[in-house]
Amino acid sequence: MIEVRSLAKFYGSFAAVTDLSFTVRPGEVLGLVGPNGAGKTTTLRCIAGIIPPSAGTVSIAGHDLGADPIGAKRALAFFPDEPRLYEYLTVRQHLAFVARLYGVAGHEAIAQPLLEEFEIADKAGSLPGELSRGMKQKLVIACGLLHSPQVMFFDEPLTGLDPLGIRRMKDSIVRRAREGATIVLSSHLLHLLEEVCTHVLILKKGSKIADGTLAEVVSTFSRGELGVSLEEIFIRATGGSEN
Amino acid sequence: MLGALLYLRLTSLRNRVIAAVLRLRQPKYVAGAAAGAAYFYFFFFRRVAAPGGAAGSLPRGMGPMALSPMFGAVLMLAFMVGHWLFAWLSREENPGLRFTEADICFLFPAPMTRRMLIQVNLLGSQFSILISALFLTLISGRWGFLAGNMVTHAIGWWVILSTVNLQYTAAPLTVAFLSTRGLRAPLRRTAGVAALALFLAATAFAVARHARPAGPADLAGPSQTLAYAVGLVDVGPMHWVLVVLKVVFGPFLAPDWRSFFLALAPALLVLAAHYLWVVNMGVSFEDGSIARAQRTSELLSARREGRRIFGRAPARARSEVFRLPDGAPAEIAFLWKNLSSTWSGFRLRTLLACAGAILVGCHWLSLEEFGHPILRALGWGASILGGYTLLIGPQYARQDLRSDLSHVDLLKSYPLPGWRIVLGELLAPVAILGSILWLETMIVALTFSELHLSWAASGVGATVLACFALVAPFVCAIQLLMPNAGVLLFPAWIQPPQGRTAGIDLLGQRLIFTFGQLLATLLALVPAALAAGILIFATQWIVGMAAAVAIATAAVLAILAGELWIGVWWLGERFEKFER
Repeated sequence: MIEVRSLAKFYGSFAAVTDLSFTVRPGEVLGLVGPNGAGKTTTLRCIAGIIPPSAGTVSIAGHDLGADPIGAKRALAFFPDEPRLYEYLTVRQHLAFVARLYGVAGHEAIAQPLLEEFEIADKAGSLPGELSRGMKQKLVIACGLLHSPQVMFFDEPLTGLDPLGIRRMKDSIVRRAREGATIVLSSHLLHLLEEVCTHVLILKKGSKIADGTLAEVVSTFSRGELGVSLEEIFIRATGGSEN
Repeated sequence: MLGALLYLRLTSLRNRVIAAVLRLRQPKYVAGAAAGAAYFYFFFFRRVAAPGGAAGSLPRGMGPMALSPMFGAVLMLAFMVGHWLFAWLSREENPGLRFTEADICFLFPAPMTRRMLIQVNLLGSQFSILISALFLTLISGRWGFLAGNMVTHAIGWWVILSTVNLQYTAAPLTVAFLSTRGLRAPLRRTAGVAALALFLAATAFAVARHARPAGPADLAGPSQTLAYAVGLVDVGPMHWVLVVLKVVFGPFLAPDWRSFFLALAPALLVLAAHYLWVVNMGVSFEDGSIARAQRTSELLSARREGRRIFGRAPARARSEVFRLPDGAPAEIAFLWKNLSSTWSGFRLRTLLACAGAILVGCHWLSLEEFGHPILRALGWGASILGGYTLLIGPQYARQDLRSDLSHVDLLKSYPLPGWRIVLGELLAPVAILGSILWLETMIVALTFSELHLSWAASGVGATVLACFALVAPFVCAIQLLMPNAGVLLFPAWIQPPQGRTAGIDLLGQRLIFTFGQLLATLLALVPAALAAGILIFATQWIVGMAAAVAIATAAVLAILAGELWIGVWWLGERFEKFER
């Protein structure tokens, strides 16, 4: 479960995120959408404990991120949009390193199925320089899943994946939500929201425009019209521009 | 957590060594590694390992007393003040700590507190500190004037480097700490400059009060003079700063084991105090560290692609170097584009201002008695700089195909023949190096009378300089053909695969390439030099030396232009066939 209350993030006088509150329950997938510069990545980084919020509280699986960062971080995994790997660690060694970071005992038994699920088992001995971008992305995801997190944050999870990889990623997210994980993902791809997300939160200039289930958000902005596409809903909600 | 970090560092180190050894299966890396190893041996280790070693290069009479803790402390203080000033005067409110993007991806969301992240950062830097300490121990071990032994030196270097590293870490954290408490950049910069000025004024006052004139004993040799100069500043507020820093140098300079242990205890106390200061600051550094990691990553990738050697990418749009006319030839558009990506100060008005300053400055100096030796120094300095500009300038002015290698697909899609693209790409570095050479030539011309060169009499010198100014851009262009040919013929040497920027094999490859470039340039200049020599010899009896030089220059220009045209055309052909 994720509980965010009055979250704000300021850079000097610039407000990247203001007064943001929402809750995501186990089994739910929240899609964070908004135009460029809306504050999606900043929000994800704040609630994943990567950067400190300027105000507000975040609770991850019952642990207050400010008061008990280690407990909270032990329960979460953050998947960045760009896979950044250690240049001189092989695929398998990345997993071994992450296992040590999170204190995962007997990690090899967990790592092997993950490598197979993401189809990088045959690259287990390769360095990142020998992997395609999609493979690197898969490795980052396998590393994040190694400690069986209850809460997951995906920043643009489909970037760089081929069609088959996209299909597998969507299935993986849905399966983990069904197994009880709490998931927040940010994406520009509206079809991903339709296929994967149970809830949507629309951000613009750091503020919440709307949130709720997909049906609730659609009904809020469809003005009673039937068959309005999600793209049209997004344009209506955000005013069709970044500003 | 320590286990995870050790696993990361040791496994990375092992894989790195294995990868380097495996690369040696390819001849180009063997050649590079051999050249790099030879460079290190001949220019570094041989001198260190030789009897007397590096000590022979030090001034005679330099004794252990001269290299006192005080002198070391002054050096360390200078370094730290420089670093603090850099952090303090920066516009950033949260400069952040040095983490890689992979660190941020894996460590920042991991179950670690902020304090643990600082410890990870400090521990991570210990690897480079240990290697640096060993390296410096090898060098200082041959200093004949230094007492102690290899172990005391190694531990001493470790204490010094670790303290410097903690200071290095403390500076951005302190800036962020003060920023969160309201001391933001404008006020911080003003207060910092004022505090420094106050400190320097107080030190200057104390120096003036306590200074004694130098006696003959103080000027008896370099060590005595050095000791006198260093002793001068060890007064007033500076004394209290130096006291702490002298303690840090104590173990390194200890003459025996007893002194070493006596010096080690207070040095470790200073180190521990620094450590406690850094890890207990309790200030957020995450935002700044992420931004810093991104900047570092961008800078590294720019360097890998040859786009920038030094500095950062421009943060804001800048004024145009010149207005690109409608319908300008594509070559001029390339010149405009590449000049726009260079140093923001490189503008016509800057060059004119420099030329004006040189003209006025040299004229003023020529009117003053004290100015003549300065003019002589300026003249020789400009001559030497001119030589360097010609020789190594093309390695640094890389606003050509080297910086556009990553955009080669886009360049190939333009409706232009290859030679026009190559010509356009060459124009910016030629303009940059040509401008610098012209300014240097101008200084030489204005200081010519001071140099007392017999061959330069009766107008010949002025003619030679004018001809040199004409020829120099052509020579630069010929030189630039070589690295640009390297981009097309040996792209892996110019832009190493898998993003590597360092390594003994890469160093060797660059050495081989630079040597090849100089050799090729010399060969290209042989026909022009022969023609010039013959023409000057044949015509000077008839038209005089100055006119003979001018005639020879015309021939040289024609030959160089011809070679340049052949080179550009050939490179254009290669460019059209180039595949990454």
